[in-house]
Amino acid sequence: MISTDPVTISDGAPLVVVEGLSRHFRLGGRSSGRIVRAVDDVSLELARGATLGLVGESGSGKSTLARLLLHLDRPTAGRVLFDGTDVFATSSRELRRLRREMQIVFQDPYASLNKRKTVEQIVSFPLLVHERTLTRRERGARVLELLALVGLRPEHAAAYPRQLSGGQCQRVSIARALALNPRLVVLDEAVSAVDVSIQAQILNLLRDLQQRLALTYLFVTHDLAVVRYMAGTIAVMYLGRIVETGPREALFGEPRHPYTHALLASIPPPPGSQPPAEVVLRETAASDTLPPGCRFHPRCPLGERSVCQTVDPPLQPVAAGHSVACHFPQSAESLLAEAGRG
Amino acid sequence: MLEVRDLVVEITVHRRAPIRPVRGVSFEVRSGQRLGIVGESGSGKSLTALSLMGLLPPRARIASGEVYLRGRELTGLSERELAHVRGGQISTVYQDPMSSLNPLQTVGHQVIEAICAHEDVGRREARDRAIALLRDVGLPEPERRVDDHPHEFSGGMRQRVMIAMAICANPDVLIADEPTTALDVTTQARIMEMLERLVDERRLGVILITHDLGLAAAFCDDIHVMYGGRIVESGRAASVLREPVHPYSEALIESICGLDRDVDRPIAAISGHPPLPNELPSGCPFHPRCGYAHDLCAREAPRPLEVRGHLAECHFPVGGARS
Repeated sequence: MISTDPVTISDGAPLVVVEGLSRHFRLGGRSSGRIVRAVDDVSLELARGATLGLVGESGSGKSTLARLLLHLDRPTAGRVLFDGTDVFATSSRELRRLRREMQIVFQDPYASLNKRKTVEQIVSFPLLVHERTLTRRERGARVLELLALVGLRPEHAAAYPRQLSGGQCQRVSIARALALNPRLVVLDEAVSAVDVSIQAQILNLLRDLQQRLALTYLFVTHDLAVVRYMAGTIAVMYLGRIVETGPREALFGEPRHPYTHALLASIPPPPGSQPPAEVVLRETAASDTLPPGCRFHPRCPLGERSVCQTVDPPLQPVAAGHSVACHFPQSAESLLAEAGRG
Repeated sequence: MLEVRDLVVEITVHRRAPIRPVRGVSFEVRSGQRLGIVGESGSGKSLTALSLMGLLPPRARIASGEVYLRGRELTGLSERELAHVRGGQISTVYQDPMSSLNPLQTVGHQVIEAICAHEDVGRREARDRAIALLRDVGLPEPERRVDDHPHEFSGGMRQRVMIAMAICANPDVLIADEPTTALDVTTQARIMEMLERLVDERRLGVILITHDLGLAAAFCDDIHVMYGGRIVESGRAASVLREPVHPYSEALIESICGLDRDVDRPIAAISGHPPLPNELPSGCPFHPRCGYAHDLCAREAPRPLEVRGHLAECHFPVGGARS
């Protein structure tokens, strides 16, 4: 049964702890020596029943990090603790149990659903794998329950994905992810491909489900406005590293990393409001290797400084819960003034 | 400069009744004007753009309506004549710069090819022109980068190259179909700024096709909002965003998850989903999702009404003569 009682979220140990996680890929042959650091020494925590927003552009490593969390890939270094269990140092039997607890919803609802299966078959598949004792009738009842939970009607059970709209398909993906009562759901750009008028429906649904089922979300997106609405804590990733992290109020109220400033400045402001101080990044050529020093310096307005070109800045606290990986953390205004002085 | 009158696009799938994804669309683009066509999937915005270029997919055709470019009717032109108009007087920038460029040829080669397609110039001169164009679209070190291949460019730089190719023959009208959707957010703003400068300098008419109302409002002078194959509201960009007249525009604006959203409250979402062209409801296409709908809305398609300087197709426009 799915519990739909409101659940009070207790503080306590985080559900997921990520420690020094890295995933490096070697390009070409063993001798080429070129290594892509898709995820590079990342540490973070997911509080129970809360949402961590992971923001980054293409190539930032946010999806690789999400895959590592779900044990869909193995790290080069570091570890992931799920409710205290080291995910990469556990028996396959234990891993099978863990997999039920963590699920994922992908970006493209059409591509992530098998077009030859009905909604009922799609949603009941996890049950077939993990709940073998259920009878056919019980599975059917469970599917209807799940469809109702995500706002679909019973008659949708017999439909094929192509008969549904993008928003309805995304609801099916969510129902499938919830079939095994997971505790962690990774939402990887889950609303990026749906229509504007559908996006709000799905966001409301996800927040509602989180409350009712006490779910913990990792919300991966490139969209700052959406992440602000969804996540209480936000981490900004750039080329495999978290460059700024903190509570929503700090990250949007007092951002300190030049990259965060640039991301915020790139959103068209709401009509009638003052656009933020415009931090403009330099465009760089496509490259698969990291620059020396701070990985952001080739695009940073202050990137000409020698410390930035030689020393990789660690993630350091600037306030309670708010950390920045920059040698010169500051507001956008003072950054622009400093860059103007050269 | 460009005038579209009552354009209807029809798609015929074998043995089935034809469907009409574009159902009578009319608009004008003046020289130097930036026009936004905003809509969701299935609204007909991209098919409208493709039909201007004579690039409709195989089963689709212009069933009726006219397209005039500088007084010349385009819909009756032969493929050969159209090929001359395309890229010459009307050109397009598409969403995905990677799949639009040939990965095996240098960037310079492709720009030069575009230049030579529309003008009789020598190789040397075309190369110089290509470098000047690439500089103009903001590519750093164009003399050196002109001999690079597309994979050596970032997404933003590739889109700059596409724009250079699109403007090389000095077109009258540039159609930009979701030009920044596939790009990173920090790059999007730079590309739009560059586009803004170019169209001002060259007095280009621009049609920006997008799903992003915020982007359209920031870039365009005027906006047409499309829904169910019709332009349901048009007006000055800032005015449409601030004081929409059509309930669809209003609901769309309220459902956008922006930076000013109250995080403690649910978003006012629009129920249902945008209709596909083969499942259009009777009467007003928006009525099943509309909070203001009456019986009349299901019976009769509304005619365009002028309300507060906007043109809107609604029986009960927002802030208008609603009973």
